Amino acid sequence: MGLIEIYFGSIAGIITLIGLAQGYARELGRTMIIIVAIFLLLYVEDRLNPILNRVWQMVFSADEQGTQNFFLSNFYLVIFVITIFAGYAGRVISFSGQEWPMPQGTILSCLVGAINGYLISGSLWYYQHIYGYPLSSIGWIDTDLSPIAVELVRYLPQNIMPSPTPWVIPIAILLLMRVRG
Amino acid sequence: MSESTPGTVAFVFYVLLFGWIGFRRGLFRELSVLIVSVGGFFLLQQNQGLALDIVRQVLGLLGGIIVIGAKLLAALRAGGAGDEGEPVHTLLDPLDWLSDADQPTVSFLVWAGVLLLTYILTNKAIPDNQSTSGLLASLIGMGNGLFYIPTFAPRLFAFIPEIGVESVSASGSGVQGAFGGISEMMQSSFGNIWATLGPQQPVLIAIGLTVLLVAVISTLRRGQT
Repeated sequence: MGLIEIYFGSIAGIITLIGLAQGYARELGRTMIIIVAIFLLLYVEDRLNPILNRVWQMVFSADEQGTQNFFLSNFYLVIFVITIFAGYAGRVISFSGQEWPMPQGTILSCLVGAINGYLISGSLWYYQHIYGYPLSSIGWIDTDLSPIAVELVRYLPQNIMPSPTPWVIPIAILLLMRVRG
Repeated sequence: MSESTPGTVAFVFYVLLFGWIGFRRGLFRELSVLIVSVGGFFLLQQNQGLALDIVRQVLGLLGGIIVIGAKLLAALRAGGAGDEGEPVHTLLDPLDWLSDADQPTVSFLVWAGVLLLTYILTNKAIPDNQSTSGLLASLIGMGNGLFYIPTFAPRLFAFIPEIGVESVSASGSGVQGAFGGISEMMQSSFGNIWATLGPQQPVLIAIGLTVLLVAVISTLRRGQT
């Protein structure tokens, strides 16, 4: 197995364990935050990229594609990580009620944690992939993707739902369910 | 009405049937079956030789018991011990009728047997109050049903030349083999259906994710915090 899927697989695994520890009632609120973050970044990406490129050229007077990709990739990465951190550290929309007891409750916590792990690590991977793995220039990532990694890239969240519009569906339905109580 | 309509209706009925079974049996039972069916299938695909060896040994043991019984019966009737080369002994030698070429068939039969046993045991061993019914249980039940399509259908309908569903076999070994097997299964069985959905795919994935999350939320019990 190549290095990159170990990186992102480990991130997904850790988030799954956090979900297991926290319980699925809390994790569902975070799932909403993650989906909102994915939606917002997909929505603004095409509109924001030309502006960010221009700012980069004005500030650094550099027109090199590699450095611009490095900047764009890290910009989205930082924004995404801040949003997710806010979701994990702060208060989120919570769903009232009591969780199922063990073992079913544990399985559900694991399931929701795994969904969050997939969405988070998949998004981090996506922002590396579309900008040509700029972190490889500082030796953090091996760009020689294994067959598994090449296959997994097809199933990254933003690759299976490239348009921001479908991401609104779960957000809207979950908000309606929360309002309904 | 298009040519594919009966097939689509049959598919929907099939999925609904497994959804109903999932609802009746509950989440924990269905999840146990899912783990055993998917895990067992790929484990057996990776270790077909081992499965064949175990089956040979078990059959050899059973054959040995039958031979001893037959000899004992013959001895009681004739008043003496039977010979080694009696026809019953050669008939019951598993090496004679289980060659290495039978590995896929044997591993599939072992898997089907384990699956059947899991259905029966989970019904008996897991009490109703531990396996709650609901939307999530139905979804897991549907997942089980979808997994059986590419595994059972080609074998059940082997006499129909163009069934449209290919048999599944895991290629390679280890994680890569299992992943390749899952990917191959998804593409061979649902690839055509999925391709026809075209631009609606993302919306369906979003609906699927939403249904899953709503199913999880619906398990939160009301009136208590």
